[in-house]
Amino acid sequence: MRTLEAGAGKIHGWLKGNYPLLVAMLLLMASGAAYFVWFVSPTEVAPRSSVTLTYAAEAGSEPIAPIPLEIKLDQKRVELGRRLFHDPRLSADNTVSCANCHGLDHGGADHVPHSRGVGGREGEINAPTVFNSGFNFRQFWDGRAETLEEQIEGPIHNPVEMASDWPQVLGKLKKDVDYPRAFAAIYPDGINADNVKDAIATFERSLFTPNSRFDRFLRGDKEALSEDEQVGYRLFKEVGCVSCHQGMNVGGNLYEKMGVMEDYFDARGGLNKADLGRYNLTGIKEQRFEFKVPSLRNVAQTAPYFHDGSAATLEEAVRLMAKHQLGVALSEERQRLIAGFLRTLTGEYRGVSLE
Amino acid sequence: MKPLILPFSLNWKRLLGWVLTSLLLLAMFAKSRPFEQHYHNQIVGHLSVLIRSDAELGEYVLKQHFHLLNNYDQSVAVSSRLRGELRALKASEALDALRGEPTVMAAFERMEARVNTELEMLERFKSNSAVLRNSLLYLPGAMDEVLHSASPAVLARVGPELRRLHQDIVGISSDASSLDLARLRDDISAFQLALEGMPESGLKSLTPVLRHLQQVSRLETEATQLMRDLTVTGRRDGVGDDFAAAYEAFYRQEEERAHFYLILLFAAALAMMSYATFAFYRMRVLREQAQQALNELRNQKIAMDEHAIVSITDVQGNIIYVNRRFIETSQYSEAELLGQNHRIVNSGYHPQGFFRELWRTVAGGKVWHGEVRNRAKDGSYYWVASTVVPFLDENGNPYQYVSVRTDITERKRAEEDLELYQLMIEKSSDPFFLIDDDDNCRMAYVNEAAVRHFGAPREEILSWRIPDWDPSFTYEMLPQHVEKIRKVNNLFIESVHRVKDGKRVPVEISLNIVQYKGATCHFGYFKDISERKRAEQALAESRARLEEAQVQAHLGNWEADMLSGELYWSEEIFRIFGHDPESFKPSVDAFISAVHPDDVGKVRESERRAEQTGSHDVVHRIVRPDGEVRYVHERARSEFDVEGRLVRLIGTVQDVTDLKQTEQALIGAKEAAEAASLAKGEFLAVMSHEIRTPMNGIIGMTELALDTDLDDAQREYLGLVKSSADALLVIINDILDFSKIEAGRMELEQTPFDLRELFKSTAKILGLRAAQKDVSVVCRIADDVPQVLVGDPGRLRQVLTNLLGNAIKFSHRGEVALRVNALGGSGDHVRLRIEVADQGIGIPADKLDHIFEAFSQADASTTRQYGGTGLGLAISSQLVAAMGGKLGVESEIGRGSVFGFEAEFPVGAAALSGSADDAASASQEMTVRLNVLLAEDNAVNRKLAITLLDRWGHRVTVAHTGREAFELSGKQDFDVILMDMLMPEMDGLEATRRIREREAGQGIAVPVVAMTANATEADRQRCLDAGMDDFVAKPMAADDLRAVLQRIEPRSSGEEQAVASASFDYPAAIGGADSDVVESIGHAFVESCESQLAEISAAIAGQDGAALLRAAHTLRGLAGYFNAVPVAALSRGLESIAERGDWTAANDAEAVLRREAMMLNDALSLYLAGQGG
Repeated sequence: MRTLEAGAGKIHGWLKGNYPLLVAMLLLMASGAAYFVWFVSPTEVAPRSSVTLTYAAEAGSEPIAPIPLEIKLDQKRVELGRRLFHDPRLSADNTVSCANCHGLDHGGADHVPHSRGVGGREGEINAPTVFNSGFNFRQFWDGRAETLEEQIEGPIHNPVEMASDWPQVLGKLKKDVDYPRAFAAIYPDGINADNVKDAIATFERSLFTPNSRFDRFLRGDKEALSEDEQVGYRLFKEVGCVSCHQGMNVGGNLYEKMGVMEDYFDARGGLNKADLGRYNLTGIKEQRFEFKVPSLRNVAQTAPYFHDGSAATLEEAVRLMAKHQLGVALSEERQRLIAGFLRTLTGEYRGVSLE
Repeated sequence: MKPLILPFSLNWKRLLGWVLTSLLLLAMFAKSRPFEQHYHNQIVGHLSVLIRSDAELGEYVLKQHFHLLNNYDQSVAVSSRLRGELRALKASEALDALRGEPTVMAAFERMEARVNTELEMLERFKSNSAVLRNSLLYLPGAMDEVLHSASPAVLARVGPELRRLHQDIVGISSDASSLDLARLRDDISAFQLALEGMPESGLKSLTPVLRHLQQVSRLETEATQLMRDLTVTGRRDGVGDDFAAAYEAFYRQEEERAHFYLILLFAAALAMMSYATFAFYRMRVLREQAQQALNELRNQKIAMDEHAIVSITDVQGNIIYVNRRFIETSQYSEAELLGQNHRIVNSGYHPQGFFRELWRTVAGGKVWHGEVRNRAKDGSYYWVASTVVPFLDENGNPYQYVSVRTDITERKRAEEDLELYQLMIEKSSDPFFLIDDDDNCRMAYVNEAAVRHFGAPREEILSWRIPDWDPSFTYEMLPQHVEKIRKVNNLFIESVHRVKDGKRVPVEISLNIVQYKGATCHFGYFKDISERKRAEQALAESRARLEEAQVQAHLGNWEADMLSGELYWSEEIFRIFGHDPESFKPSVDAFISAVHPDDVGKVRESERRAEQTGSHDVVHRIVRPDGEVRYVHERARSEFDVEGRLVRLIGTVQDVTDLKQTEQALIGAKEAAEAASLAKGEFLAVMSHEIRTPMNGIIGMTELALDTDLDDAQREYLGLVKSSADALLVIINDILDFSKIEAGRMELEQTPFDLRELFKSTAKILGLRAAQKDVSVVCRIADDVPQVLVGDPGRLRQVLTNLLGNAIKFSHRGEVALRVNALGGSGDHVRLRIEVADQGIGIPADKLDHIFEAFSQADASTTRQYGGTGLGLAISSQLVAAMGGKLGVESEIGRGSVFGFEAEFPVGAAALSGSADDAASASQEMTVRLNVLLAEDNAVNRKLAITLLDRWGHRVTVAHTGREAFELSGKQDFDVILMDMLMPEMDGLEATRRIREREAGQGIAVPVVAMTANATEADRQRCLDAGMDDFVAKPMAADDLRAVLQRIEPRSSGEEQAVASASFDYPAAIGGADSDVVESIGHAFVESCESQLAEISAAIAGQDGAALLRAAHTLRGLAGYFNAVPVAALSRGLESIAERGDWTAANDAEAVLRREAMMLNDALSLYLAGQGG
């Protein structure tokens, strides 16, 4: 008993004498434990998502969806983009703005087969409309730009279009009395290429045209389309146009070869580089003559038609498309009816019809 | 010194070891970091979206292929998401962190390529799918058309093939899964074969069909393949699976590595910690050991240095080390000492041989001991006991001498001191002695003084035992005595010594037990106290005498300490307080508890006063323990400390019980006398009041009787009755007044009055009395005395009447003068000196002091000679005192007296109209005829009142009780109600209150006049409170009643109204009239006035109404010319009397008219005389 007590006393004495050491050890152990808990405890690798495939029955629904009536955008950027879009200083000689070829009063395009850039130089391809371009899955006829921002690089640098470059453009913009302040109000880093592109692209996304008669029809207003136009729409589907021109933008979401059923270029003649389409981009032989299927929204306002601007009227374009793409010869009556339907796709920009 | 043992020392090897260990730990720490968590989250996040999108894409492709979707918007959205995720992952920091992992990166690149391929495939699928869809849409219709509309020739050639193809196509369109491409291809080939050689016309419709069929055949194969490739189910693995697997492998590997190094790190840390613990513990132990050794060493050195003076010299004797004590003791600094010889501290006390001996000893290698006297730097000496130790080298030769010394200066000094003390005791003038502590108690030591005291040789004394010099002891008592001394340790006694010649001397002996070297002895001194004994004797005698004085005077002295509460009492105080001096302990508290409880406050109060005034003087009671109460008189003076606090009271106490008892007996007697006096006053007041009521009847009735027809004898008797009654009434009034004053009930009025009028009328009345003697009364009022003053004119008249009456009474000739002088005044007050001087008998000087006392005249004989109650002057004196003055007198026997006083009166604001003080004037006044209700229960008083009222022409209705009065006044209109206060059924106050209540609603107020014998101001107030308007005192004086009634305005307007004209200013009225008229008819009026009045008298006498009417009317008309309003009004009154035939009123009216008319006549005569002259 006595020895036990003596031993206890000794331990007690030692503990008393060395308590800083004891505290240090305890602290070390505690920190080790904490380290384990915080850093070493095994983390679950997120499980691979299991996708349930749902085959929703969509038969019976229309292949075309109406354009939403409203899209939320930063109005300040939209306004800045609008100014830039109309600003010719984006071009080398301060003569050509985006709006030159994509006039908002010209259905978002110009009414010539090939647009003209700085110094009146002629481009190689027909200018597509800027309206609803935000809904397209790619930009340019050959789809070489994935986004609107990327697209802007094209005309800026294209020698037959604006023939400029960013240092030039930004230098001009920075000298402006108003741009630096306007940019600073939106972008903390002020004027640079990304912000210019962002502003213009945002503006372009605001160029959507809802509330066309056809959209109203789709939304349930059966009176919005005349009987002929309804017949036209039925033909549009029956003849097979809708195979490519579908979705909200009535096209603009896939590539297709120009002349699937019957050679188009052979018939037209005068083949040039622009006619090669995606081939110019990929070099894949099979992709020669492949172009982005254009949107048919506001198509009535964007003549002439096709990448080469060769079809002057809607009826002509409908006829050529049926012939070359569908392998069908349409009667004049049918051409008229389909074209009639296409005219109902003209929507409104900021509440005003593009007609 | 043992070197400190450190657990480790820092050499380069150890340092390197530590650095390496640290680096190792750092490296292990770095290795123990797992793959960055947020990178992991990024990769897993992107990857999961990617994989999901891939699956979704497959889903859309599948739907598209089986025509479950009719547009590509969703697949476009998913594909762009897929591409976006891939780009985001590629651009992410997480992937940057994986750049070093080739397998993972390779897997990523593979995935990237696959995604791109897949997206390209998707585009192709879409293009194909669109065309295919179109053809499948086109073919059934087109083929139908051919089958139905083609020519039989054509059908005959291609019909079967076409039909088979139609089935195929419809099958594909309805169910793509049932497609049998091989069959379709065969069928198309067959169809193509069938077409060969067809005529152009037949081909025209069949070529497009063929083209579409070829498209279907071509595209369907590709589309199906693409669909398989694009759907996860089709190809069995997702685009991200490869990368995910690679990444996960990498991640697991990273985790394991981190885990491994962490454990390693912990193990290392634990090992280091253990080592550190061990090292720390070892270091502690070693340090403690070292510390202990050091401490011991230091303590030894400290002990040495504290005790000893240490120095070390080389063999030459030069000092090479000294310690602190050496420096302190020698007072030389270390620098001064080092290198020096020890001669520096040589005191020169020791002979040369002493040091030679020292050196020889130590040089021989032996230790030397000795005591040395050294000299410090300041020249003082110090003794040391020195030990010099030679340190020897190997050869036994000393190479150093270490000298260790102890300071013994104190011891040396003590030795010297001891000699001094011995000398002091021996030579002390007080006798000291020492007695052995044994049963013999022999004298062991005596100093010179003791030897002188005993007067015997020292040797003889040293053989004595106690009884030999102290006769109060015997040899037998010695052992006992010794015991006693031993017990008490010290003893202080008085005793007697036998000295030379056998003389006995009283002594005081102090004896202490002294322990010295184990032996015990008794040391002490004694003192011859013969002188003191004599002084004590004298003091005791003096004290006894004081004691005796205190006993006889019943007076003790005391001292109280106010701070401690202690109290000293002399013996007499114990006797006074009835305490036993032996057993009772006096204190302030004990004293206070002996104080009679009712007097404690008084005593405390006096003590408090003593704190301020310094003197304490109080008579109070005490209660002795046996309950007896005694009176004591305490006097004391206070002593204060510097802060002004009362610290001590020194005083005396005297038993004054006897004195106090006598005093209280006297006070009792005085109070009894005062009470008797008060009772007497009350009695007199009541008595005189009771007497007055019947007096009222006597006087009133006598007056009435005198108004009747009497013969001379009757008139004389009744005259005597009247004058006797008047005199009695005066006496009674005096007594009443006096008792009122005595009882303190006298109240003075404050009303404006005309001083001259008052004084003159008083003088005039008294003048009548004076005229009966050979005495004249004159009134001298100084011009500067104001006309109107404010005060109590009645009381003032009473004083004047008394003084004048006395003056007249005690004069036999000469003049009695009433003098009034103004002594000035302030503001609206005037101070007057009023004197009554006579030339009468005068007053003896020794009586002057008493004449203002009640019931006192100059002497009793005077009373007999001159009569009077003796109250007059007492009353006057009191009244003057009440007016703020002091009635005084100067007198000389035989020459007369002057009574006078000064008093201050407020000056009245306005002149008064003529007062009716003059009794004679009362009859001149005209009264208004009033309808009077008389409420009086006493028959005599009622009779008196009715008679008076009748005589004045008022109409009287009688009520016998208050109730009757109340009821009558309700039925009839009265101009005034005379209300007795005390009546049966309802008293006057109650009746009046009721009348007022009733009237409250009617807006009228009949004047009510109280009739009361309670003539005080308080009574009057009670009447007014009850709603009464005025007040007449009973016994009723005709004049008072008349005056009151004159103030009443009749309620009935009308002819009975007359004008009081006592003060009508006829000259002024005439002056204001038309002078022409006055001059023209004035003379006529003067001449005819008398006859006109005679005519009226005759008419009244003859009760000839018509004649009276005519005469009065004429007079009225004339009076109108002179503005003589009273005459006109009185004439008009007579006219109405004549009309009514009220002949009782006519006489009075005629008398008044006559007087007024004569006044008009006089004034008119004067006026006309003035005009004429």
